[in-house]
Amino acid sequence: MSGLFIILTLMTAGAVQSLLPEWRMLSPLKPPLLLSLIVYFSLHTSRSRALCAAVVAGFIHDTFCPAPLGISIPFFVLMAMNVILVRKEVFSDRLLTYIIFGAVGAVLQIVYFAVVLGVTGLRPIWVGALTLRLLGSLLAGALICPLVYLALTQIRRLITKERKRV
Amino acid sequence: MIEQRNSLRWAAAAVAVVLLFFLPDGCTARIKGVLKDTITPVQHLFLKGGRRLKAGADSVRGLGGLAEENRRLSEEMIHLQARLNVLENLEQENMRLQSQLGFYRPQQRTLVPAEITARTISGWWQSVRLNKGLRDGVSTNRAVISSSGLVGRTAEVSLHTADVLLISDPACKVSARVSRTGSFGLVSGHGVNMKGYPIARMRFIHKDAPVRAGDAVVTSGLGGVFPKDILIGYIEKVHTEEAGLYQYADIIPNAVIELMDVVFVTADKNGEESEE
Repeated sequence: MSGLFIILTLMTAGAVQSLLPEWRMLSPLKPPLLLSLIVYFSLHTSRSRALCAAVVAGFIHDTFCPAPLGISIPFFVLMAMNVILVRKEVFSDRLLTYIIFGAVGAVLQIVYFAVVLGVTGLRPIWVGALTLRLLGSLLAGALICPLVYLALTQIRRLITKERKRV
Repeated sequence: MIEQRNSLRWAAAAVAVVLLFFLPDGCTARIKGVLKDTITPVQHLFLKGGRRLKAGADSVRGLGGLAEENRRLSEEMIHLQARLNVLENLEQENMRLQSQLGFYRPQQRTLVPAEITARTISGWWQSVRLNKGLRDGVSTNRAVISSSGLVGRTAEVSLHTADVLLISDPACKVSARVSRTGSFGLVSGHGVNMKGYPIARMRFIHKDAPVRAGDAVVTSGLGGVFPKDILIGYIEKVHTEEAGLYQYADIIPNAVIELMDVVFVTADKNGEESEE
């Protein structure tokens, strides 16, 4: 996977994630496309590429919301590092892996932002809304991450086929 | 040797990320602005694609009811035109009377139309992005309105885009007045209620003010950012604070619920903005 492919995919995912409607019943929640991509890249590329992708994802995430620039980079980097650490132990290219990583990652993302935004006073944190958001993110992560995996696998297969043809 | 070089590279990257947090606000805003303007074309591409798909689906779905829709719109246009004529006469009469009394002040603000191109990427903020920025005369801390009322205020503005904090965001605060009783208060966002609707809360309403559910809440015009008498929303529920000194009310923000694709940003008439 080239660096350009990773950057373009992340930019596209950022744009799409911001355009998609939020799930208002889940206090409101956006489908975690960027997070799913970081999980995918951490499982499929080298350590350095995955970490670079995490930094880029952090920049893109903060560009698309009024958060201070750089606030989400530590989360994406930590997420990538954790997936890289355990990928040798658990990784098998199956949907279940992505369901688990997606669900856990999405919940951790909510916890991270709740702590950071709550401690810095940037956002008021209401316990009820946070609980709802955690439940929602668990579902969203478990649903979106495998979909992103399937889509990316298909895209990469198509690219490889096209290259061979050329 | 290679490993040492790699470690140095990673250390430098980590320091760069940490330094990012200590950069002055203006500097990070500029970096963010450049990033936003870079990604905006990608976003436009998807937005246009999505709208074309929606339009295609709508046209397929609406073919049968097209004639009926056309007839209804023609009737509505005639009705609105008649109403507009009456309002124009009233406006002229109002201006004439005000100028006779010496009260008339020419309107200082002009409205910049802008299209909503995206919403926030995470659910932590209630914001939208507009396709107009500094180049179009939009600046920070300006009121954003639509035909349904107050939408919010501009927060971060780059050359070609502007982020708008919606009235349902806790960081957006507006001095407001209950239209029926004239009671003043402060409206700020309160996130989303259990039904999934964005809500705002009006605080510091006088404890004896006879406000009730259904009352319209409008901007008071105090503070200078928001024009006077713009509809914010309708009161859903009224509560009394624990100490009993004030009342507060939950408000359904009208323009956020019926958020249109096109909104208007207030700007000075000559396009030059004065910082507050």
